[in-house]
This record gives sequence, structure tokens and C-alpha cells, in this order.
Amino acid sequence: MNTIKPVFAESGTLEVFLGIDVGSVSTNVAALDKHKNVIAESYVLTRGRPIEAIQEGMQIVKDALPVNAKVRGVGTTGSGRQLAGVVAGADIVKNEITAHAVAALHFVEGVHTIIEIGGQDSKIIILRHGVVTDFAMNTVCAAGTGSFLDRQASRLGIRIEEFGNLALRSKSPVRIAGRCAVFAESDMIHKQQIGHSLEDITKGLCQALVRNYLNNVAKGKEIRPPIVFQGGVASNVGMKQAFEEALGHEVLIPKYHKVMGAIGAAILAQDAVGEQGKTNFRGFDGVMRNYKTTGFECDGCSNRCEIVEILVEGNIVARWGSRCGKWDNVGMQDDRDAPGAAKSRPGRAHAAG
Amino acid sequence: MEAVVGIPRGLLFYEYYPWYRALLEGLGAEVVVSPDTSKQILDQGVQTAVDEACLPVKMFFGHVSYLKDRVNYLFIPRMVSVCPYEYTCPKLLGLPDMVKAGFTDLPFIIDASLDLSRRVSQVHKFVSNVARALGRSSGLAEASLKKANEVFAKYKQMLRNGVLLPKAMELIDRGSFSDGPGGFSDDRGSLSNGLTRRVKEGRDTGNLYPEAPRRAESPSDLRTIPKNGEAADCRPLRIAFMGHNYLLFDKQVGLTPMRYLEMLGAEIVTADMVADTQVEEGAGIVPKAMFWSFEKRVFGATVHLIKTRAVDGVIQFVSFACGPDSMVGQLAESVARKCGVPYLQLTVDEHTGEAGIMTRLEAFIDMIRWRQKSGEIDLSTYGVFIRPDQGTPYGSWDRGRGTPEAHPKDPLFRS
Repeated sequence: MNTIKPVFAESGTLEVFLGIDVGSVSTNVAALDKHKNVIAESYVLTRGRPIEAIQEGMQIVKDALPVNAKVRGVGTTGSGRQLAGVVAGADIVKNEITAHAVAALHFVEGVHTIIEIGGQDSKIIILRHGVVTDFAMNTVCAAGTGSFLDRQASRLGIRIEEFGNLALRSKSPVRIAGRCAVFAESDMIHKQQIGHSLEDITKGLCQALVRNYLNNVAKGKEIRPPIVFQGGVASNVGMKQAFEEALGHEVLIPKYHKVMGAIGAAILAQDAVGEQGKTNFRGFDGVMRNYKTTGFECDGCSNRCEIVEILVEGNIVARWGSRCGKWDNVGMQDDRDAPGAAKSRPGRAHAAG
Repeated sequence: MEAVVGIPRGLLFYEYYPWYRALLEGLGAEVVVSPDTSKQILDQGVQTAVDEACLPVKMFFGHVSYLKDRVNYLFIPRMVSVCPYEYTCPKLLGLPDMVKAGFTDLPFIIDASLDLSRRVSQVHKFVSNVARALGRSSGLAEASLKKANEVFAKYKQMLRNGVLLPKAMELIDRGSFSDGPGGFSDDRGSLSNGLTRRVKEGRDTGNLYPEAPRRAESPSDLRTIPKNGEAADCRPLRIAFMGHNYLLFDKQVGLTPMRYLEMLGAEIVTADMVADTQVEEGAGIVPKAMFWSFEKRVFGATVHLIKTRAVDGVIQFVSFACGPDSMVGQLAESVARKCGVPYLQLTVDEHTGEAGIMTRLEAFIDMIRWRQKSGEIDLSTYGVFIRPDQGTPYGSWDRGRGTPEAHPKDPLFRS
């Protein structure tokens, strides 16, 4: 199912659908052919610069695609989906829940439960008969997500890739508080100072995170197999094992677990564009143009909204952030229609009006 | 000197403003209300309130700091109980003291206590204490109480009829009343007249579900996932947006998600639109009487809307660190789950980043439409597979028509 089998259209071009998932930690791009086979993928760290990450990821995918590939549709998802939608010219901008569910359904038919743990959020999606029937995301706190594991790995001086294997070697895992990342950290330091082995501590941490996930995010949900575990944290075999021990079921990890959101966005894009539809895709060259974001505080009222503007070579192509919506369309122009036209941000004088 | 009385726009302002205003004006005071919560007001509140307090209390402190130098009285009554055998949240009980402890340069605080827990007649004592603070007679107090009760009854009627709270307050301020629905603006009729009537009466009198549920060829058929912009073409979803009014209708907190829901093609139903008798009935499913007035209203209304299938989904909007809601939210969730009604709990705190809220709302609406389009409307996540034509675990009643009968084996629904 996951093998690469490029399918050529009659005309000799390979029809490709792109999905872009801009998360807080990583930005992922996936390219699928029209039979939903993954042809190319990329996983780059966002590092707080989403536009650069999108461009970097797109470059990797572009280089990996065969020359006869033609992009027929683009979908974006993740917390930066709106931004990615502008940069790439998306045909569909969808939330992560739907994108992850669509991707998991493609790889595991009849999936009932999706556990997704990413950089800064974790979610559970419950499906029945191929339809999302319930979901939950972590609330105000990000304890137990990828960022925390990364931090603990670097504090212990182990590479995050080795973290899981270390946990597998544990004989008697220690108990660590999983409710709060700060408490977990002080608990871990305490346990290591009294002489517990690194293996037992890492396994204990995995168990604590799983416990916290099941009591917090998955609280009250009926977790039925098949269970799919995806997101960056699914790379951690220690977490997989801890989930399987806690749930008593096998936990499936799809081959492309790191880029499932992007795959889902690509599938949604194919659906959105339809068989003959046209795409809004800007082209790879369009994506690589010089994008800038600026922001200002609107002083039109006491809300003091923080407005974000996206500029391509000096032209404003998108603007958002105002609660009243008045900035959303002011002074906007499609850069493809009027390239190079001088455009500056509307002055504050207008803002007060 | 004329008495200028400030009412901070927070907490019970969102429950009793018309009553407060009519009462104070009847006593000859000029009433000043702080503006909608702004970022400055929120920042002020966070700086002045104790760290442990919930977000609405912090915002209230912000409104107090806005008003304190502009008025010579602040109206912060101690609302102990607004209904026999019921109480308000402990934070409301101690509110005047918290405010007094948090500032050094306050104007005179009118902190008369209202405690109806044993006797409703205590309201007369309350108004006479307010009058005394303003140097007015008890006779004038009685007259303004009568007037205030009249205004308040009309205001409550407007809310019952489906006028959303901000609109109802605006109409009351202008001295006009409306039977009809009101949205966030006149040109955006957010709640249709027919809908609110039906919700009010608690049953479906017309054809609420014009489209017969259609089963997709394959359940996982992608065509059933709503596309962007498709929302406008679909039948509007009715979403119960439940929570404390001071959270739901605060400009910095609840109004933006509510507007976003409307943009996604949802009609908002709030607890105020459910009649008191139905609230009582709904809250009656728990074995012990609930003694928190406002939480009881939210819970009872949620149960009523779920059991009569008057809504397509329930969103519980709670503030982080809210004690009563932590229990009420759990109860409501278990009822929603047992009835197979989609449920989402949104927790808010100080952060102004809205992306997380929007993601959850969009996913929630997508999920409901996906479930409905695939024909599995009443798919219970508890494993009981329900079809509209096969009845439900609560007796065989047609969806939307009539009230479901309690399932005898279900302790939560034992009457």
C-alpha cells in the first residue's frame, strides 16, 4: 500500500497533489499521486519561521518529484495552515483533526482510534464506520507533548532518536508524575539523583506521559482497536510500548506517521479540486518568492487587534487578525494580477476612521 | 452632589444589568457602565487580581480599575443567593471583599447583601440597604424595586424569545423591547424566529429536519467531508453554546468564537433561551438538587436541549480554574455521550491566541456535518449504534419530536 508506484497519465504527466502541514515544531510536505500513493515527503523543523520552513520543505519535495510531475491541487493544515494557504495558493485549508483522520483512514481501513501526539499538542480522534464521531485535544497545558520529550532528552544528554530504545531496555521503570511537565522534570531529577538508571527513568517518563494522555486528553473516550498512533512522537518506540501496555491492544504506527497531516491535506486537496478542477497553486517558483510578514496594532478601537500582513515582493496578499474584519480586505491585491505594483500599508489615518 | 454609580461590566452584570440599572436610576443615581473588556482592561485585571482567581474575576478587577476614578460609588453587591436553597459561586460571595482588598483608592462601595436562600422577601432588605447607601428613603427603594422587576421580566422574556444577550441589553437601554430574534447585528439574523420558538416550547412543531438522512455509498467516502465554503449551502447547524454569560458574552472571550461559529454556518442556542421549568426538569436528572444557581441553569438547559434533540451539538465554554464548571462540565459531557450528541469542551484562560479555539470549532463543525452526511447521525461513541429510524436507548421516539422517555436502567435518567 505504501510502495512508490508513480502512475503516469495518458499525456505522460504525473498528476500530483501536495499537502502542507505547518505545525509548531515541524513543517511537513507530502506529494501524492492521484491514487493516493506517497511519492515524496519532507519533514523540516519550523524553528519559528514558518514561511522559510514551507519553502525549504517544498524545495525538497520539488527535487524529489520526477520532471513530468504536475501539481493538480494543494491542501494545507496545521496551526500555520492559513499562512501556508497564502504562500502556496491552497485549494483547501483544513483543521488538523480532519486531515489526520482522513490520512489514517487511507492507511488503516476501519481505524477506530487515532492517537496523535505532535510538538505542542496532542489529540485523540474517535472514528466509527469511517466517520469522526468524537475528538479531543489537550486543553490549556502542553505537558506530555513532543517538545517536552525533546527537552528531557537533551537534558539527559541523549539523542531523541535513542530515547525510545533506551526505554525498551528498562527492567523496572520508576514512577514519575505526569500531570505537569514542571513536576515531571523535578521528579525525574530526584529519581536520577537517588541512583535509578537512565533506562528506568526514560521508561518511567514514557509511562507517565501515556498515563497523563489517557487521563487527560482521552478522558472518557472509548478506545477501541484498531488504534493508530501518529505524529512525531510515534517515532519513539518507548511511547508505543507504553501505550500498548496501558491499552492492552496493538498500536499501529503508519510508515509515514510523521507527515500524516500533510498526507491528509493532500487527499483533501484532491477531493476539493475534483477530477477536472483547476488549482490555485502558485507553482513552486511562486512559493519561493520573497514573502515577508509584518504586523501592526490597529488603533481603531480599544480592542487593539494585532494585525498580520503577508507581503510578496512588497504587495500585500493577505491580512488577518482583526476582530471586526475591517482589515481583511483593505488594500489587498492579487499579486499574480498586478506584479510589481507599488503598494504600501494603509496609513494609521485610515485606521482611526 | 449627584450620585454617579459605576457598574463594572463583568460577572453578574451579564445576568442582572437591567435590574441593577433600573434599581439605581429609580433611586436617583446616574449609572455608568465600564466599556467592553479591552486588552488594557484585561491587563489591568491580571495585574491587580490575585493570581489564583479565574479569568472572569480578573476581568472584573480590570473593570473596577477603569471605573474607580470616574465615579463616586461602585455597585458591587454581595450576591449570596438568588433563589431559595441555592447559592452562587464562592468567588461571587466574596467579591466585594476581594475588590476592597485589591485596591487602596476606591470610591464608596455599595456592597449590600442579597440572600434569598431562606426567604425571598430578603430582597426588600437588600434594596433598602442600597437606598440607605445612596441616602434615599425605603419608600423610594420599594418603588424602584417594583420598576426594576418589571424591566427585568421584560428583559428575561426577550432572552427566552431568542434575542441574544448583547442585543437584549442594548434594547433595554434604549427603552424598547422586542419579541423577535436579534443577532449580533440586525442584518445578520442569527437565530430564526421559528427555531427559537421551538426551543422555547421544547418540542418540534414544524419540520426541523427537512433533509432525510442520506447514507453515503461508502462510509469513509471523502465526498461527505464538508468543503470550505460549503457551510453556507447546508442546513444551519444548531449549536448549544453553554457556559456562564459573563464568559460567553464578553468581547475578549466568548463573542469571537460565537461569531466564528456563525460564520461556519451554525445557529447559537444559549441557556437563556430555555424556559425555567425545562431547566428544572433537566437539572432534575441528578439525584441530589443542584445548589449553584447559574451552573444549574447551564446544566439543566444543556440536558433539556440534548434530550429533546433540539441541537446538533453542545459546546461547553468554561474558564480554566472554574470550580463549579469542572463538575457541571463532566456531568453534561456524560449526558451528551449517552445520547450520542456531539460534545466539545473549550477551556479558556488569559491567552489571546485564538488559533487553538478556531481549530477546535472548525473540527467540531466538520465532524457534525461529516456524521450527518454519512447518515450516522446518532452514532453513539459509547458503542450503541443508533439510527434515527430505530429509536434510541431512551425509548422509541422520533428524532426531534416529543420528549424522550428515560431509560429505566440508566441511573442518570432515573426520575
